[in-house]
Amino acid sequence: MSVYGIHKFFRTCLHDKAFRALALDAPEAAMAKMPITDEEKQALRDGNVAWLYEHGVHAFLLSYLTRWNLFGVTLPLYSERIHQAKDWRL
Amino acid sequence: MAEIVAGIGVPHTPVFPSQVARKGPDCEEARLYGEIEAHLRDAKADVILLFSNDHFNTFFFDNFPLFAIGVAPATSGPNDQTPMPAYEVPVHEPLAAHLRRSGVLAGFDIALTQEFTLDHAFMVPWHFLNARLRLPIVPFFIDGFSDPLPGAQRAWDLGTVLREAIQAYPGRERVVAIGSGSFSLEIGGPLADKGERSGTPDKAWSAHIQTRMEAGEYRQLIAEATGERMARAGNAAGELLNWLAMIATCGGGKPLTMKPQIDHGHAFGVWSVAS
Repeated sequence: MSVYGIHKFFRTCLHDKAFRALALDAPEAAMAKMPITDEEKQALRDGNVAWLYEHGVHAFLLSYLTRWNLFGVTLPLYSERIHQAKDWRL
Repeated sequence: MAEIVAGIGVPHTPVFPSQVARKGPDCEEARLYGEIEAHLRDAKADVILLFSNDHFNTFFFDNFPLFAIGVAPATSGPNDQTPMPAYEVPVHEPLAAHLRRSGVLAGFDIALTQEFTLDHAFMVPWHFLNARLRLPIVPFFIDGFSDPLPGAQRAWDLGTVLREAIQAYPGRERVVAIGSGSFSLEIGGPLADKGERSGTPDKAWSAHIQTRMEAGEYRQLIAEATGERMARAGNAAGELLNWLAMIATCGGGKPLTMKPQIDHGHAFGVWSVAS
């Protein structure tokens, strides 16, 4: 788990319009540009936000998924899944 | 010597500029920010020391400071696609350089940035409070968003050091300190409201902070505001640190006025300055 690569993926989606378009049109190609592991790629493909959160991804950046419905993750889906995550604060 | 003439605490909710543009000048947010802007105008300030926290826009995890200060002739924002007007922002470069030097010599490892832009955490307060006055700012970044945060006592001590540094600055500038952020706010995490991207998970903590501030009980508040306690109030609840640094810069008095938005987990406040 690199976490950094996932954070970079989401931040680049916000700040780089071309990368965002790539993430929407060809997510495999976009992921290939980032230092993320196979496990992380699978979690992104699956929209497994609970797993990503539990492995240290910052929720603010993770929720960028819902800004553009990346990997098909809409806000209702995201909300349902993030509430299933284990959270040390609860 | 320069002097600190007032303190201000406000939220930086990124939807507020577009919301106010849509709802008009009589809506609650327009009224609350308008009241604070009037205080800022009355203070006849020359410069604003603005404490806020970046949201991975100005800085990122390739190089992520707990404290940083912007030292440059000018900056701009917002840099994070917040729906609001874009602004060129003058920076009081000599004062910014002086505060960094004084802070470092006093034991605070304050990172330096000389080419930077600002996200909504700085630009929403700018939009509502300073877009017309256009006072130069000193942007001071405190990490209130990425665990582990600096401690509450550390933020307070930082404000105390900056207060002394301002009072030692060889100029006649009148300085207003602004601290911006929420007391309870979760963005994107499991504490957000169901079906929403964000939420206010601990309104009681937010109200408690306000009570402590109104009573001037900062020693107790600092003891209570551990990293774990703030985290339970949401992943943006560490923005309290911006307020603590601001209040310490003002000398730690009680607020002149403090108006909460309980449902949002934040407040609007004004401090006079203890001499």
